[in-house]
Amino acid sequence: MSGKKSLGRFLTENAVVILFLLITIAAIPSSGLSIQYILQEMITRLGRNTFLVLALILPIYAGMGLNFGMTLGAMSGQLGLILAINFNVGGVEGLAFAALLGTPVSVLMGYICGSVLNKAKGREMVTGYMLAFFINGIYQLVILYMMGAIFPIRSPAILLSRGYGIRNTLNLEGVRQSLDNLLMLRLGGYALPLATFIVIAVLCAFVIWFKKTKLGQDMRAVGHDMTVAESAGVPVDRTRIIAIIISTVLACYGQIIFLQNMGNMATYNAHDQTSFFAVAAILVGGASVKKASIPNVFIGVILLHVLFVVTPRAGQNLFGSAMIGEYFRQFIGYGVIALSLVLYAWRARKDALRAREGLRRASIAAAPEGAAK
Amino acid sequence: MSEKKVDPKIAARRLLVRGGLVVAYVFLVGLFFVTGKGHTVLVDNKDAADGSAVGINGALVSIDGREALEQYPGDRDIVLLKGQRHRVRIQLPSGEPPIEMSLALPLNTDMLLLSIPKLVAKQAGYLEEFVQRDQPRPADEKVGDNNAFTSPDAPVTTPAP
Repeated sequence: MSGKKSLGRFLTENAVVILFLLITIAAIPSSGLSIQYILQEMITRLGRNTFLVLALILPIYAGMGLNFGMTLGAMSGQLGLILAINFNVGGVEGLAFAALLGTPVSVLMGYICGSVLNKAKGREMVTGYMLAFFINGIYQLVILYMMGAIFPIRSPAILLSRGYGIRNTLNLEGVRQSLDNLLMLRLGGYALPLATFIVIAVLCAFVIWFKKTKLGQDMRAVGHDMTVAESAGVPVDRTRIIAIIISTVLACYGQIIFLQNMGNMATYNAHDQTSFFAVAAILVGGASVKKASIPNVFIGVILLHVLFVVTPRAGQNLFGSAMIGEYFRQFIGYGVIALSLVLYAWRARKDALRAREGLRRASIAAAPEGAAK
Repeated sequence: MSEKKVDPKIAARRLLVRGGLVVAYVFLVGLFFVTGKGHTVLVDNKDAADGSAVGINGALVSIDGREALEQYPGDRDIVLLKGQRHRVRIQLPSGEPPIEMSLALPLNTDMLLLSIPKLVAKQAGYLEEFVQRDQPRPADEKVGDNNAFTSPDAPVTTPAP
């Protein structure tokens, strides 16, 4: 009975990962892609996306759920990149320049986001999601109307023909794959962007170290129970704001790493799906709204992207249209988030019922003793 | 809700650290700007406008040890450089020892014209700012009308007119 229960528990806890694994295993043979090709794609995509997904860990740790507000950080990174192109600063220096310019903006955005989320405790995810829409409006206003009109733009190549506003797509030629190519290791037919992986490893080390610090422990306490943390003297609101600021700044750097790998930037909508794909990846990796770890990030990025690589080809081979695969991966992006949230809510309800039942049993067991006294 | 009184020594130290951080930030921005600043250099082998220097037939021009550009009269090649200090090496077809010299590109200029005939003739003004006159403007673009939820890898599609 207990074995059955623990198996059931394992299955419900890892339902998303198992489901994904099954779909992926089924899709690989139909895609007709070689394992070597898929592996190389995974290496590239791990370098491209992992930093962004890692940015989600600390807010989860602080009990703020999945930070859909990371889009704000992505926008800050894009602003930094626009300025780097405008001033014609290229290479790794260009990336560092963009990151440095994006940092104060992302700190400000993180502060605003954290403050708003503190006013909406318990509804952080939907609030962050809506806030991203609001800030997106401001971003578009700045980029589309103010740049070139109020803020001087040196490079005419990035301006719209009317003389103000940034072009729809920017060519990031100056910084294209500059971090990836900084230390490119060729090993057995595979190209490993070592510098990008070093940056990711440093971030992983930072996350591990940060969790052990006083602030990290405060975040854990806040994430566990805000009331208890407050009673214990932990500045709850401040700690939550710091978690969101760190996440936003990391999202800013993550977006810069992502875009340098892509080599071009859709100025007005490159950030639209940033949070969706990061959230989908971490959920696919087995994380939940309340719990996430570094292995969840790596498993999630690999599983999600294997599926992204194989489904268009599988769709092409099975149904004669690559668009079915494209549709499938969009559908999966939303589906995974919905499934995880539903499973989380269902589990939380079940846990609460179980706890209540346990409490009732304990009180029944204690009642005769009390009566005897 | 009274404000905690901070020890003046700690407050001063905090101010110092914050000030130091701002200085470090500004320094780093400046450093990356200077070291990463890109320049487009047009390596030009056309005759000087006043006829004082004429294009060289078969000159090999190499900048920063890169692959040499083989130039003939009237040629103009484009070279993208990063940073301000560069080394140019010109090998003449006559078999004379190569001309080597350092180039200091002005930080504020994006596009420069390097005249090889003037440089070989040791004339002033071999490096000057290049301003594109009739710069073609990109075609008008519609923005903000692609609101589809697509993967970041999906190509950006422009809607049909």
